[in-house]
Amino acid sequence: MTQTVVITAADIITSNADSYHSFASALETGISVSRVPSSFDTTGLAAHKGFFIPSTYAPAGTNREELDRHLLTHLISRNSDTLPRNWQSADLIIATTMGAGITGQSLIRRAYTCEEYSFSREEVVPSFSSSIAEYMRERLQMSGTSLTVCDACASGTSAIGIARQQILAGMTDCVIVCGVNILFEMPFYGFSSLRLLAPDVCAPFDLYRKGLILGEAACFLYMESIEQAQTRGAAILAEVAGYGASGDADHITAPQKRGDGAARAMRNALRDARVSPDSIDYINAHGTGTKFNDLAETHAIKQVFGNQCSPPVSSTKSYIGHTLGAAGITEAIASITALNTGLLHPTLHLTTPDPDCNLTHISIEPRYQKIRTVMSNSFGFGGNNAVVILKKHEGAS
Amino acid sequence: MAHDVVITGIGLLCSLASSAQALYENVINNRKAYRTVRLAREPFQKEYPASLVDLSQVPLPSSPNLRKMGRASLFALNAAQSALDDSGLRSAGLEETGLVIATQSGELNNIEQFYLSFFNDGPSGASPFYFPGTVLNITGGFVGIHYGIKGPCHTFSSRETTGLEALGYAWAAIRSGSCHRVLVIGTEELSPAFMRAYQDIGIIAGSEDSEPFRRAVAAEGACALLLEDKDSALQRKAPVHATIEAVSKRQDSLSNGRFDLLISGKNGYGPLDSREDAFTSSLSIPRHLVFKPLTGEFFGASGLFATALGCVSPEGHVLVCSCDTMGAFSAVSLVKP
Repeated sequence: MTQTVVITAADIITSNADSYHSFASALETGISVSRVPSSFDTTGLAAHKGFFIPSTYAPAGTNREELDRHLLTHLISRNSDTLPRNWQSADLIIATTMGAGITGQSLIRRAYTCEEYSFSREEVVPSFSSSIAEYMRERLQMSGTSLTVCDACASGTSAIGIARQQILAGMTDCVIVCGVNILFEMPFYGFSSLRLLAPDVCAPFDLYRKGLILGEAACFLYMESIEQAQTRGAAILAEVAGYGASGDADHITAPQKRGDGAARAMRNALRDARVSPDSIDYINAHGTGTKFNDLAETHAIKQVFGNQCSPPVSSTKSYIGHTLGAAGITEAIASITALNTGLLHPTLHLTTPDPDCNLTHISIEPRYQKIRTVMSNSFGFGGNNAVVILKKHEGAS
Repeated sequence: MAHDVVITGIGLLCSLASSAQALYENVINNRKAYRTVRLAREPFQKEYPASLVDLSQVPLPSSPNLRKMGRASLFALNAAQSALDDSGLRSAGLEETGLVIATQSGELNNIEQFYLSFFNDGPSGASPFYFPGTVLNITGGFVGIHYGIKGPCHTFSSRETTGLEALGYAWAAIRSGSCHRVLVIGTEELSPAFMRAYQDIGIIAGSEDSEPFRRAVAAEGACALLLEDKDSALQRKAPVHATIEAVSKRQDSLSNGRFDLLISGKNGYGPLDSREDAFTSSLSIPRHLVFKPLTGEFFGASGLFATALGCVSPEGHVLVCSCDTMGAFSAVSLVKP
């Protein structure tokens, strides 16, 4: 059985990029595009903006109800030439928070307003979280197993960790880990009802931060054993060196104030990767831009790395918003670009760092620094905490 | 070296029973759980054969979060308490325990209530009370908070195979040594829109259908299993219901076993039943226990109910099988002490 799990392919579509390379470029040049939604009403809400994937980034003719599965299928298909020949036998893990929410929302609306209506399979089957995996397996003719992980905002990082565990345990040789989030009424109105949305910009760790902005993304990672990757001469983007998870056991939506649970997940990841805190060159923070999360994450980082000086920290959410279930994978991709290019993107709009969030922030301008080891944090509703440590692989392109 | 994984606690809640032994007795004595129920929420009221839990009869642990919990979370809490009591584990010892929730649909009624809040009153009418229940991992949050469980916590959501997928994750985590103990809970509740949609597409029986049904009967409830590293379990003198020999999602991996009993996942819905037959027909298993026509289909929780039945059956080597309506498969092999 292997001792090392690596990432050999990655691709992404977000509000600011239609590919891995354009995403890396957008992180360097500071491209970030939010707008008012055109597909649903935000009248009466305090916040109206989101980071939406432009329609031109999606396959032609895709309707919004099926955008999640079509984007993921499109991403895998366009990379199939660079994936191993046996990629269709890979296992599939989907990270999502809202799952097939748009179709579920339509179904419930129709159920409560149309008494004589009779539902069809085409309406009902796609309304469950697992339907994304089912759709992809059918369209891509994938024969491996599938799993849908719903750990709220920690789903993406959890999915990476679970894939790693399964490969290390010899349960599978390779896993395609996918994250997707498409915005619609339910999450937008829900986060607004909890007064968590910022009306203007997402400014994590800033003294005047007002909350998060939701975002859309579709992304995937191809994970396999290093032996398999080396046998076929694959370029290794990064090593998944460690994973740690924990539960806050504190509050159903808010993070535990002292960051104890988050710190525990970070320590578990460091232990799993067999590295000390000193080895971490950069932290890709969960960094949502809410008062409580950024404060709790600061406390957690200080618990683990000491009070004096943390590794450099920045938040990808300042660029593309909070992509919920997909966030952990988008941020892993941002971390991979950092490992391979030496570009550490800044936290956008961090103009007045909160003195209570006194970490080593990368703000406004990117930092150029060769790094070897990155920690990526994800903390979700229900107190779910997940942390992954990625390392540059010697000989990586 | 891989650790042996044992089941030391079983707790369950459904309309037919509130213990695994009682459920097994009722199943082998052919007692049915379901009755015709009317899920009454305007604007439509329809009747279905279904197995609903009467929460007014269910003892629930005292919790400040109780009023926020949807039915699925309440079921899970009750089942978890029973499993922990069964294992003799005090809640004070659960900090390092992991938690895995298996559910197809989560807190369905709260999800529907959240949608109704803004369908009726516009964007600003969306209810902050119901919104957290729309995120499927909320049950894990409530259970974790109640018992102080701070180990890794995950929620898996597929269809009928979810329960065994969750079991498989917990089994692998303990075998690898990354956890010594994981509480696995499958939970499911029924709601008007879900029942209507599933009945329209022929997966569950409606009031027009007569027995024997050629479709599944929907059921709600929860089943909790406490999995532990065998050495830790023996050290604290925990009861051992069964050893989990293997869990797999690949049909060829368990086909060489010699089993005394098959706990079947068949529920009366033809396509699902055919898939299971395609796998099990080549295995010579002398006894099959088909429980879902009596208990109802628990969807994401059903694999855990099946495993609980496997644990209390008299046979020594048990195969628990689960297929879903979309072609997924999961199976677990149990060995009794």
